[in-house]
Amino acid sequence: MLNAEEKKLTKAQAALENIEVPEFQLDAAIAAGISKGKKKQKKNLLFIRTLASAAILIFAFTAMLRTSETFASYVTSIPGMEKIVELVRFDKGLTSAIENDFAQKIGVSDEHDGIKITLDSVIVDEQMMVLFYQMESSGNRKDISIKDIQLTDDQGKSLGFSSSVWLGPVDFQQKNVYQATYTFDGRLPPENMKMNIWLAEGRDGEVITKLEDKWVLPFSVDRDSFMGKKEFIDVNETVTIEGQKITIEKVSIYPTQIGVIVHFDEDNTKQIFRFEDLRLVDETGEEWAAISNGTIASHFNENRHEVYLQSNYFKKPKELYLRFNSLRALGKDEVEIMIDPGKMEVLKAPSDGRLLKVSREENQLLLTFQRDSKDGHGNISIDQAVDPSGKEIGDGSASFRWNDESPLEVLIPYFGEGAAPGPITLKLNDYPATIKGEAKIRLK
Amino acid sequence: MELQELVQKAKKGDEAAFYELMQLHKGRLYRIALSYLKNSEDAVEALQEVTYRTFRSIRKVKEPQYFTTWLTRILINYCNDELKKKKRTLVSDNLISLMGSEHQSSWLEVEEVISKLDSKTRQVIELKYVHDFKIKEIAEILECPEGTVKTWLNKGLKELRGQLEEKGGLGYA
Repeated sequence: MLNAEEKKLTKAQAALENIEVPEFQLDAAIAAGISKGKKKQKKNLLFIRTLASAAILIFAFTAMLRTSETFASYVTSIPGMEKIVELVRFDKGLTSAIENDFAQKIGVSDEHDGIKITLDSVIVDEQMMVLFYQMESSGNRKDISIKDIQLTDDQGKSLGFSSSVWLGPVDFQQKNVYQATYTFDGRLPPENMKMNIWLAEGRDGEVITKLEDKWVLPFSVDRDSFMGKKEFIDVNETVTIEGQKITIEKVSIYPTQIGVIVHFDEDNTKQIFRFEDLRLVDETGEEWAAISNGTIASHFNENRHEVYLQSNYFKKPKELYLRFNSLRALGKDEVEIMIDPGKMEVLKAPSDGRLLKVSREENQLLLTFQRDSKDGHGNISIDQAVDPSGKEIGDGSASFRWNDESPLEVLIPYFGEGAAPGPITLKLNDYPATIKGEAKIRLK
Repeated sequence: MELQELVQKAKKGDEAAFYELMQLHKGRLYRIALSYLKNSEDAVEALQEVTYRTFRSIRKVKEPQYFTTWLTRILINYCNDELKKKKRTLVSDNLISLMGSEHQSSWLEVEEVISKLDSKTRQVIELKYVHDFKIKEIAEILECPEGTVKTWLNKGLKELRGQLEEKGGLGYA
């Protein structure tokens, strides 16, 4: 038996039930919601796991794979290497390594379940190794993703080199060449190695079942062909840009890349995050830009970075200059964002007002940042969040999403992660604020 | 097809199953959104946004039997955010105009007394009596123990009774 007040409430329910539902509009809304979801899901969701370790590797992925359709004839034609040349064509160093016959041909295949993987060739020097491989399907296998790639010695023991590899859907129609890059961090690779690849059956990169087989590609590299192929230049020159001191310590030139070790003065008032246009220029004005694919920098600590540039090892220029004009940097008193998740309040943020708001999306904190450029995620990057007791929150993952019109949305796990109550701190490790000037340092 | 089966399929990326799920829930979601946002246009937009959010995160639903309450939670979070953004009292003109004339006065009467409750209590009362959710479901939607829901319900009903008595509105008292 209902009470009187309950009866009244039930009448309100009847009133609401009586409202006619605008079927057509609702169906359109559902369709629009799904299409928006598909669009974002495919295009602009970048999942980043922040590394907790001290030496942080900075990655960028502009071209982990290239399709043969976009192949242009302006690149040097090398029989049998066309697709690889095309894959690396945005990297002058790797292109020139191939042109100078520095790539080692492998040609090893493994086939299971109608899927054949071929390790075509490698480019290797004392600094790193780039593996080029192709995948073919004899049957009509669809929705295959690369689940994991591991480099081991010939006994199957993992070599533990830092790597940047493509993990994601495979398009058999396009006969793509894929690239996997391993950085040796001062060690040397053994002569005999194995590339191990695991695949999964999935859809849109969403893995459903991992295939049981493992594709194993054993190969050997000729160490003599690359040992000693390097050149070091001690620079130790300091330049000042907008009052910030930047010291170029050392440049190391390898066939695959050029490493530039820089040191930002501890007394600088601004924290420098990245170079925007670090480049090498020779006597003819030819330029070698930063590497834009794979490991682009490693940070030994906040103030000492090694930045990687495309190599001109084979070019042997007579004169060589290191130049830069723009760096991303922010006042050291501004690099920490503080948020009170209880009140959804921003307690501290960069003074430019770019952080528009903080809200909740399911179990995540959603930070919305204004974005300048129409492309890319706007050069904002954040270290793992820390709670008031100093404990890191979550598993170090963060998602970034945006589209052409929308601001950048950064999602950070928070609710249900057991963080101590109270304000949390997020440290920026990249931000779209710049300092500009002129730096030209002669290396040769 | 069973709801749980649809959820399983949708989780695996079956778009048709996902569409079907949203079809099954659209009427109820729309009415809940109406009761929060007070006008049809905003309620339709809410359904679009909720479809989008659900599509993106459906993989995270661990127990298919909680899909309905999980979906409702996404909607309510959205509506509460929207209300915070608008920061003003919404007028119910549009909502009222959608109802048959015989229902309008009873809705307004309830809306008046409910609006005096604190927001948490009002939410629980509305979910229970206006939107017809079970106590267990409300606990899932609000992510709190059932006992807490019961406490709020009792508190809310008691306050409503007091208000109605004051107005002399309890017909058979």
